[in-house]
Amino acid sequence: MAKRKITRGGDALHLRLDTAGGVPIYLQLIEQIKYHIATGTLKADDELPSVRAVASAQLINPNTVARAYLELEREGVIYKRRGMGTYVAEKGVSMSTEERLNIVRNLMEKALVEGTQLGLDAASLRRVFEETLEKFSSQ
Amino acid sequence: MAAAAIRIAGLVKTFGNHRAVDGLDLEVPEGSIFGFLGRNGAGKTTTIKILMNMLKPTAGAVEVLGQDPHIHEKELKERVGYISDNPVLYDWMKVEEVAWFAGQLYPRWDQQKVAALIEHFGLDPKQKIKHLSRGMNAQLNLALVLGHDPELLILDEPASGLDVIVRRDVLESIIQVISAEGRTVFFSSHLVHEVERVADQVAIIDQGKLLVCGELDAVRQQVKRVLVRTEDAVDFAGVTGLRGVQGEGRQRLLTIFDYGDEAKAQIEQAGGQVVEVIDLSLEESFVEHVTPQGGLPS
Repeated sequence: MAKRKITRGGDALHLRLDTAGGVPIYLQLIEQIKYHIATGTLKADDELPSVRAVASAQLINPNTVARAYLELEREGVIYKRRGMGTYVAEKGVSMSTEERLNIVRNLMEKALVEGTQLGLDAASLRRVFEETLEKFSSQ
Repeated sequence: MAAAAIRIAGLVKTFGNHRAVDGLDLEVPEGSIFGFLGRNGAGKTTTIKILMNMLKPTAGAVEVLGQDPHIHEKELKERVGYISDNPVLYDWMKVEEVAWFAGQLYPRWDQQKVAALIEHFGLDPKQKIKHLSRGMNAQLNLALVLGHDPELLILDEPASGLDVIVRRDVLESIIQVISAEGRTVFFSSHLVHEVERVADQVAIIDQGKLLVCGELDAVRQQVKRVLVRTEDAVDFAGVTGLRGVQGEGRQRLLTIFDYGDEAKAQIEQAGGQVVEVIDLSLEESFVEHVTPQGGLPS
């Protein structure tokens, strides 16, 4: 029997899309691309895989990918070169300070929920944060 | 407003006393991937067979690519790609013979593309059809249906009973078709989570009737779960759109259709405080749509 050919289009982009959580797929795409920019996996002028490549790799509707790209382009995070591909914008990378803060903010919120459920008050939570930050900075 | 690839109006099909399709109205916009959802026996296959002129409607009308399938059957066969829920090929032929034979039926046939797909799927051209597994059979059908570059692809339960690799092939084929300008894919399924990834429009039918139809996100968001905190044994029965209540203590989870300001005010009036409004997946939303109210009798 003939071997299955492995075909891929465009640069790989690690995406994990999930339909169980009720978050629309195009929003997950936007968030994850921003995350890759914020963490430095994607840098300014890096080329993003084509709409078709993302759709085929993730088995999602090409319109969904196009919608996410359009939104990111509107926000200035990515840009298109006519007849070429889609690239990460300089502005997208610098804007991502806010994105980076957001990632930390979300993680902190989770810790705070956990702490509150364990019956800790705001003062002790603040103390733990200061202590941890101090310990971390001195390393 | 985009043109409609499929238009169904007041469709009724009865088998004896049984109304398999019971007054169905549906429009499938051109350029969409349309998921036609329903439980087994909801009337999906019957509807599709009428679209393909394999059954005659008892009442109502259907239009496929602007034409009546009963009058323009031959022309539509060339423009529409169709894989039934139980595709049967000539099982004495070899894979390559079927590919050649199918090519004689279609004016826009692309033999090279079909050969490339057969190779991509890892099928042996010399193998007899009767020796193909269920999955290989499905792959061959996909190769044949993509070979004539259909304007509209109709798939009846395409992923049912197939392993994960072949289900991927099915979804990839759908994406390949839709990537060409102005193409439409209409597929029925009861595997809702797969539909959720790929479809942009969905319809849910039950007992031959349309329950809901529209953009996937709108259909999904029609149902919400609302987490409510309450002090006493309050009764939320008067809340508009209420479909069910889980829990009996201080925290209740209400399932509500078309949740909005009105329902929120009613919850507060009843003595509850809304803690969180939770979005559902399409699958959860589907279950709420097609399940009769109330749980199992205990």
